[in-house]
Amino acid sequence: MAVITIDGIRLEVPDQKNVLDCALEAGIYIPHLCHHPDLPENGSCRMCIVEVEGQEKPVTSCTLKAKDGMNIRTNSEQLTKLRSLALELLLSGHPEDCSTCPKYGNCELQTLIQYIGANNARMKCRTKGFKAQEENPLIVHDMNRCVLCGRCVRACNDLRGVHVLQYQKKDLETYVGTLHNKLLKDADCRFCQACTEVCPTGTIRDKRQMMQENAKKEDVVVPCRSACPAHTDVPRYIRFVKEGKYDEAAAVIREKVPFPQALGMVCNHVCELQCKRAEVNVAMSIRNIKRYAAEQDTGSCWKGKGKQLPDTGRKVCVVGGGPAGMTAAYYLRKQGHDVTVKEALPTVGGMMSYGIPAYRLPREVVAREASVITDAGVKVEVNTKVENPTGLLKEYDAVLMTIGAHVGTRLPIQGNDLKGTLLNIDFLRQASLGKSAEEIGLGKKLVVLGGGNVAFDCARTAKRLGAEEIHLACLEARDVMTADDEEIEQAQEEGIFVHPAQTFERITGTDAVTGVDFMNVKSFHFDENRRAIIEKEEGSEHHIEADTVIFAVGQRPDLDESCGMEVFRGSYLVLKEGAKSAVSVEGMFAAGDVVHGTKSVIQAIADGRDAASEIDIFLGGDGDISEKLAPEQIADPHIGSIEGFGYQERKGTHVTPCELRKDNFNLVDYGIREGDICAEAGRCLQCDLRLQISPPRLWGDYSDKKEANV
Amino acid sequence: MGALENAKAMSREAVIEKIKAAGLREYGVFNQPLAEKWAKDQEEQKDWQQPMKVVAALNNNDTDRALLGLLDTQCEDIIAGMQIAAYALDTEKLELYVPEGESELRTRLAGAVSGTGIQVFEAMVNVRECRGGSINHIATMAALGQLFADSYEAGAWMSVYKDGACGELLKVAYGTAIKDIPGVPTEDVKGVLVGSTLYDASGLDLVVEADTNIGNGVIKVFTSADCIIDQQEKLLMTERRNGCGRCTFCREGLGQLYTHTKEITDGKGKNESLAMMEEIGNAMTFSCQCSVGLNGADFVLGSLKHFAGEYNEHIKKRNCPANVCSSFMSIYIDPNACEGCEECVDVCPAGCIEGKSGFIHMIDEFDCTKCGKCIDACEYDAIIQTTGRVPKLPTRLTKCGKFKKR
Repeated sequence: MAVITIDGIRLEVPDQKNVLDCALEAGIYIPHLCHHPDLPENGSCRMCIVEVEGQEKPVTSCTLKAKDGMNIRTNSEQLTKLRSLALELLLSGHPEDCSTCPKYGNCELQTLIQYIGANNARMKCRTKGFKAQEENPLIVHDMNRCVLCGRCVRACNDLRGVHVLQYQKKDLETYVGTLHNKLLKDADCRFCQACTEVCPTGTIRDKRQMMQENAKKEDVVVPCRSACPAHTDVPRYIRFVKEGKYDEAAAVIREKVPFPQALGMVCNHVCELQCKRAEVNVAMSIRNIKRYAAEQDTGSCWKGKGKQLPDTGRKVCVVGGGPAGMTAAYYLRKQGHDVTVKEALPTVGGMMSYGIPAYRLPREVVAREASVITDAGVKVEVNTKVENPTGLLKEYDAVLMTIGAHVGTRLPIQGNDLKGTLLNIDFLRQASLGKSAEEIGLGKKLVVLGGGNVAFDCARTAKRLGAEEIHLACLEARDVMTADDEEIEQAQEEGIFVHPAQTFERITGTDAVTGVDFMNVKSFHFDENRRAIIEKEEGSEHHIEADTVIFAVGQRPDLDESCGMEVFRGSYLVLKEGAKSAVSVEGMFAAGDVVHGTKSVIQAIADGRDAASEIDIFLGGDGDISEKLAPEQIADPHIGSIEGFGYQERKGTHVTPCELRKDNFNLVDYGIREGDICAEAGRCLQCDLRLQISPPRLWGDYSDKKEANV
Repeated sequence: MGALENAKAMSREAVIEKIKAAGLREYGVFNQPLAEKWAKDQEEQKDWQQPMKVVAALNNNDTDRALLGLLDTQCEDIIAGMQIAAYALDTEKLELYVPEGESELRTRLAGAVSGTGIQVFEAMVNVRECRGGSINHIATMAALGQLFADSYEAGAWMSVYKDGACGELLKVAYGTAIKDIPGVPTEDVKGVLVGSTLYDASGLDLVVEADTNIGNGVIKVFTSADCIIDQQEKLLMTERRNGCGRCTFCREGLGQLYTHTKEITDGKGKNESLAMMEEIGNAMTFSCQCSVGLNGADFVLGSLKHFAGEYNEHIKKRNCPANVCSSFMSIYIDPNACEGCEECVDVCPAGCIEGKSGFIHMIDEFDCTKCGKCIDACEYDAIIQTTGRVPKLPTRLTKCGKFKKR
C-alpha cells in the first residue's frame, strides 16, 4: 500500500496503481478521454494531467503510478490552461456541429467540452474529409469525428485480441481503420462491438439504435435474450455448448423454461430473427443449439438442485396442461403451493401433444419433460374437462385458466359445412390420438386452406395418413407466408402442392366436397382496422378437385360468455388492467393462448412464468420464481482472431430423406450433427461480452456526489 | 576476448560502475548519463510490470538518418553493446529498429544479428509498446560495445548538411566548436541548426561537449540566401509525415504550427500566430511521448527566439528578405524584351502563360505558382522575377515591339 495525497485528501491506495483510477475511485474527478479502465493506457489525450510535488512538468495521471508520499494536485492555473489547449487541439479537426451527430447527448467528448469549457476558436480548423463507412454490418465508422483517443484500437487488440483496427495514415491524417481499408468482414472482424462500446465520440457507432425509449441497454445489446419471451440467456448457453459443457448449457436454459428439448424442436425462435449475426451473414441456429444441449443433458447441473420452498398450504388449480399451464404449475409448486392440473385430454402437453405432429415433436419428449414437473409434486388429473371453472374457487385458493385455443375456425364461405370439411385442430388431435384416415374422414384428395405452420402440419399429417393428392392454398404470397421456410420446403419435397396468393371462392359439391374454387390474388394487405383488403386478378378463376377440405385458418379457445369471466371477441379471457394474468374474477387467472390467441410454445411458457409469479404474490409469496441452476460462467473477453469468421455458414441439420419420412410419424429432423455443433456455437458474436465493459465515468456523476456530500 | 565476454566476466554491478566511470552517456535527444538512464528504466519497468527489454534505434525524430551509417561501419560494436546492455539489465529480449523504408538495411542486419538473440524491425519505435523496456540510441550501443572492447574514444558523431544531403559522419572530439568542424561554412551565416536546436549565428561558437544536446548530430547552416520560415515550413511538413499520430500534441500541435507557418510564408501571416505558436510549441516539449513531438517544436521555438526580425518582415512588411517565399514575389514578362518565341508557354506547368508566335507573352498572375521554369526557358532574359513593383504590362495580345508605355 502507498499513501498519497490528492488535492489535500489523503488516500491509501495499492502501490503502482495509476493515480487517475485512485482519484476517480475516491470520488475526485480528473477529466480524461483516452483512458478507459479496461484498456492499457495510451497517455495521449493529456486531459488527465496533474502536478506532482517535486516534478517540474505536469504528467498524465493515467500513466503515473502511485508511490508512497506522492503529493498530487489536480487543479492549477497551468493545468487548466494545458487541458484547455489539449482539448482545443483535439477540436481543431473535429466537426463543430454536435447537434447533427447521432451521439449527441450521449457523447463523452461533449461532456468534456462542457466541463473544460474550451472550443476551437483559437485553432486553425480543418475538415478531415473522410467518407463515412456504412457498408459494414452492425458498425458505422465516421472518421471525421475521431479524436484518435485510440480506445477502439486497444479494445480490438489488447482487450479482444482480434487485431482488426489499427492506426492508419492517409497523407497527413491519422485515422483508425483496417489494413488496406478492407471491409470488417474481410479483415476477420468478430463483430463483438467492443470498439463501439468504448468510443467516446460519434466515430464508431452501432447501426442499430442503442438509445431506444423504455429499453434497457442490455436488451438492445443482446437482442436474442430480450427477444425470447422467457428471456433465456442465449449467449451464455451457446458459450457452454461451444465448450462442450452441455449439462451446464441445459441448466442455463432450464433457469427459464421447463421444456428445453421440446422447444429445441419446435420453438418459433424469435431470438434468431433478432440475432445480430444475421446482419453479418446468417443468424445463429439458436434453436438447434438449444436442442443439442437438451438432448445431451444428463441433468447433473439441475436435477434436485432447483428451488423448493416449504409447503404453504395454499391450493392452486391449473385448468389445462399445455405449456402455459404446466410451466405455471411447476413454478407454483416450487414456491410451495399445492398444485393440481386438470387436463381434458388423456395426456398433458396441450398443443405439444395434440397439435404439433409427432414427426416434429415426439410424444415421449413431452412426456419426459412433463414428468419433471409431476416429479416436483404437481398433481395431474387427465381426462378431466372442467365445465365450471369459477366453481373451482370453492376448493382452491386460485385457479389458472390455461385451456389454450382448441376450436378451429370455419371460414364463412359457400360449402363450408359439406361432408368432407374438417377443422385443423380436430384433425390433428384425432391423428395424434392414433385414429386412421377413415375414422377421421380424410379422403384421397385434400385441399388445406391456410398458410401457417398449422396448415402444413395438417397437410403433412394427411400425407402420412395416406392422402394421395394434397394441395395447400393460402391468401399470402409465398414470401410472406407465416410458416417456417423449412416447413414449406419439406412439405413440397413430400409432394404437397403449395398455392400461395389464392382467394377461397367456394367449396363445391352438393352433398359432399368435390373441390374448391380459387382466384389469384393481385394484392393483399390489412387496413388500419385489421380488415383484409384483397384485390383479385380478373378472370383467374380455377378449380382444384378434392374430396376433403381442411380449414387451417386459426383457432380460438373453447369458451364463451357463460364462463362467468369477462371475455373478449366471444371466447378470449380479458386480463385486469395492468395485470399479467389476473382476470375479472378474484382468484381467477389466465395465461397462454386463451388470453391472446395462438402464439407459440415459448410465449405460453413465458406467460406461465408470469402467471406463476403473480399467483404466488396473490397467495402471499414474494413472486420471485427465479432460479440459479448453471454454474458461474467466466466469459473470456479475449476472443482472438478467426480467419473467415464473418463468412462461416450456418450449419444445417440432419433431415430424414423424403422417401423414408413421408409415410410415417417418425422424427423428421434430427438437429445439428455432433461434428457441427461446436462450429455452429462458435459463430456466435457473443454480444453479451460488451456488457462486461466498464461504463464511462463522467464528471456529472462526480459533481452530484460532491453536492450530496456537502 | 570480445566485448561481450569481457562484460560477462564482470558482475552486473561492475559493468554499471565501468559505464559510470567512463562517463558514457545516452546519445541523441535524450542525452544523459547512461547509468542513470538505466536506473530510471529499471524503476519504470517495475511500475509497468512489463518484461525488461533492450531496444536500440535512432531517435524517432531523426529524419536525416545520418547516424544510421553506424550500422554499416560499427555494426559489431552495436550488437555487442546491445548484448552488454541486456546482460546489465538482466534480460534476453533485444530489439533493433531501423526506420521505415530501410528494408535493405534490415535484411542485411537480419543476417548480421543471427545467433545474438536480437530481433530486427523496420519501423518507428512504438514507445507505448516499449513501456518497461530500455530504449537506447544505436550510437550509445556502439560506444558501449567499444568501451568493453577497450576501443572507446570519447566524442560526438556529427555530419554537416550541404546541398540537400548529409555529409559523411565525423567523430568530433569533445571541446570542439561547431565552426571548427571540417566542412561547416562560416561566411554569411545567420543561423545554425544542430540536431533539432536552432541557434542564430552564435551557434557557430557552440562547443560540443558530452552533455551538449546535439540531437541527431546533423549541422545545418543557414545563410542570407535561406529563409528561416520557409525552412521551418518544410521541416514541419517532414515532421508531420514522420509522426505516428497518436499523441494529441504531436499530431495536432505540428499541424497547427505548420498551418501558422504556411500562412506566414504565403503572405497571409498574422502577428497573433507568434504567441499561439509559442504556446503550443512550449507545451509540446513535455506533452508528447517520443522525440517526434517532444522535439518537434524545437525549430519553431528557436526561430521565434532568434529570428523575430524575419517574422516581422514576412508578417508586417509582406516581404521575404531571402527572396525565397514565392508569394511575396512577382514574375512578369518584360514587354520590351519578349520576342514571342513561345518557349515559356511550352514549359509552364500551370499553363498560365498566354501568347502566340510574334506576340508579347503574358503571365496570368492568378494561376502562376512562381516555379520559375519560364525564367530558365527564356533565351532573351525577358522574364523577370521581382519583389518590387511590376511595371505596366499589356492587357491584350500585342505584337512584339509594338507595346508603348503611356
